[in-house]
Amino acid sequence: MSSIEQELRKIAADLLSTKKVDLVIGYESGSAGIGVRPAFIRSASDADRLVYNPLCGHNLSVFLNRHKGQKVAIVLKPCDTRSIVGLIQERQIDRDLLTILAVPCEGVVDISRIEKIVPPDTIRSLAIENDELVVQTDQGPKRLPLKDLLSPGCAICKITEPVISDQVLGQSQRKPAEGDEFAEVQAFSAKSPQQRWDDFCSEMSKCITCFACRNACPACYCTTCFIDASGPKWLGKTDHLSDVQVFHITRMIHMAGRCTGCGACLRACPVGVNLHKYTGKIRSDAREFFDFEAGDDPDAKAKPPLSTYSGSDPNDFFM
Amino acid sequence: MSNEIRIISREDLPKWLDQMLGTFTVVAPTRQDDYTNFGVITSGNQADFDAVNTRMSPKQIFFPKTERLFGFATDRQQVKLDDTPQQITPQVLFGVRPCDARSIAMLDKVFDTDVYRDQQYVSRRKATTIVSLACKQLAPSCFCTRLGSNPADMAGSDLLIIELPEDRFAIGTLTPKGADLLTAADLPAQATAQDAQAFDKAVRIAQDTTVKPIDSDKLAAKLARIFDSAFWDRWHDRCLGCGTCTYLCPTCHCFDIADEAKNNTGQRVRNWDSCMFDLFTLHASGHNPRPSQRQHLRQRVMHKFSYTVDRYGQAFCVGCGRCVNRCPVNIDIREILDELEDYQGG
Ligand code: SF4
Ligand code: SF4
Ligand code: SF4
Ligand code: SF4
Repeated sequence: MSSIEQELRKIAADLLSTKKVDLVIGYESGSAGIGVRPAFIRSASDADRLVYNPLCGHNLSVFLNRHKGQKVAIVLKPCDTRSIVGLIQERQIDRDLLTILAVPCEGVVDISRIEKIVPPDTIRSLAIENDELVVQTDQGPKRLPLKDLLSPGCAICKITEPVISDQVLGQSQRKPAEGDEFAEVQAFSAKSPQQRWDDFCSEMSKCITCFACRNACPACYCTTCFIDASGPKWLGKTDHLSDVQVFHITRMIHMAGRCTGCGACLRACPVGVNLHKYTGKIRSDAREFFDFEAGDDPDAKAKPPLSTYSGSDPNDFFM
Repeated sequence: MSNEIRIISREDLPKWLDQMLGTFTVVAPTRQDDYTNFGVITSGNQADFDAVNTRMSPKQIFFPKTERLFGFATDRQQVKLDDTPQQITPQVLFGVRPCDARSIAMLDKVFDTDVYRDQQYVSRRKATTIVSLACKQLAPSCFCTRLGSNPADMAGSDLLIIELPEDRFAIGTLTPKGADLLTAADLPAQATAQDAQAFDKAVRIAQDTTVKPIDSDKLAAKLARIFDSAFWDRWHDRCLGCGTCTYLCPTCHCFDIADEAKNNTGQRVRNWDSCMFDLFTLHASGHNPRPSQRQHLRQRVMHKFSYTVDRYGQAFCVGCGRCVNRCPVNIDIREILDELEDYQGG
């Protein structure tokens, strides 16, 4: 057990036994073949279920809106704390009821990268040993260096410290990534409009419109999402590519200045649609046009561009 | 048990598919990025015979994600309906795993009954010959044996292919439809008595299992009893309500009907729906009898292991493991089953 894990279990047990919180949201080991999963701990005696390792990819802040009015402690990686900042600015979270347990992060594993190397129907279990992932397969163990398995967001991550926290456990050893965070976006933007459209169409044709990306997104908390609204109905309900595209384009516009690039949508998508290319474009546009990056500024009064208006807002796109 | 066995080499499998392509549309597992999915092939070489389970189940071949039921057009006087059935051509569904073939036999119980017969579904089923490929071993997320099935189960298949040593495959005939497909084939090798024995032995080995299957009647009764119990208190905590489990599930068959109209023409479509969605049971009044993820998840388990047992005499899970693999938060139906069996509370 790592020292972070030990510390985490102790803090969680203390918080619960002293009734400072009703619930601790963290990670626990998953069932066979699946590394970890979100854990909901309600009694001090269960605190030793908590684990923390590079398989802990989930952005747990997505669960907070179900526990409004409760005293909750939550385990967050540096990038996940940015989602919380957004939720506070959009008044979805009562900061006084929340205890943020900020854990260090050296980058998390992208399960789909493992599956590119080891066929998923042979993976029996996953374990972390030092800087390697040990994959037990039917043909014996396979050791893969963690640095080759990082999530796309982690490889370009510049955030090594939590933006907001109540208790900080340990410190990330990682340096902010060098190089351009939006290289993929720039490559996309450099294409001709026709090529961009073809790229978008081909990516969208994989989508089965299950809307798991929306459900996994901490910023998608609307009680009635536009896709579920029926009066008026915004979205056509067929598998026609245009309906799929309307869903994604509208959702992405709702993400401007709100998406932190946490990767929750990518992890949830059952068919590997690369949404990051497009949400990344939206993020880089929010930065370029509004000088705003979601989650950067912990000030509760900072206003994301979608919730404010200024006469000097760029409006070149108006005729 | 199968009456005719034929033998084919691995090398000849794609050639056999090429022969079929003259007469049939052939749907087989094909590689797409990191996974396999069923798709129409244009050459036998495109089929992937090694992946254990496709990402999406084959249910969409019979029960598409969006199905046009009919078109309509209105003018001042009248509404005109256009319900000309879609053209359905003969097809072969090749390389289905036995769990998936079994799931199709389950869907038949829903869409092809005396009470309700779904025209499009039934026409597609009639036009399709199902050729299954037995699994050499269970993948880590597979649990067909827990559901009283096995990797060489014959339910739902017209032909069953079992791999023998030395890259040879034995093809067992299970139905007249399968026999027709095989008779039409120009396959070189006839099976020897030894091959037939090898086929039967492989089937027996697949059946011989140490896993204790669930007792679906007992489980269904227990589920009905513990509907309001604390058993359901914690599974849903981490559920995102994303519906991946049900969209990928070969036996899930809930749908929603929508009208898609522009000006005065349109169509009525039937779309997949999921009990894991908030919208699933939302009434027009705003009332939702299943208001939270707790009820949603319970419904999924009840439908698979209780209501279907009452109604169709069988649990509607084939143990394909898709929901286990792809649930983004690892809600593992096998764990739920294990705990259900042990649960003593009322
Ligand atoms: S896509 Fe838009 S409407 Fe839907 S939940 Fe997200 S922010 Fe809300
Ligand atoms: S999760 Fe993937 S398949 Fe589902 S709606 Fe989002 S992009 Fe489409
Ligand atoms: S419930 Fe899960 S394992 Fe069972 S048939 Fe459906 S997807 Fe497969
Ligand atoms: S796939 Fe998992 S998270 Fe999504 S609805 Fe099903 S059980 Fe819930």
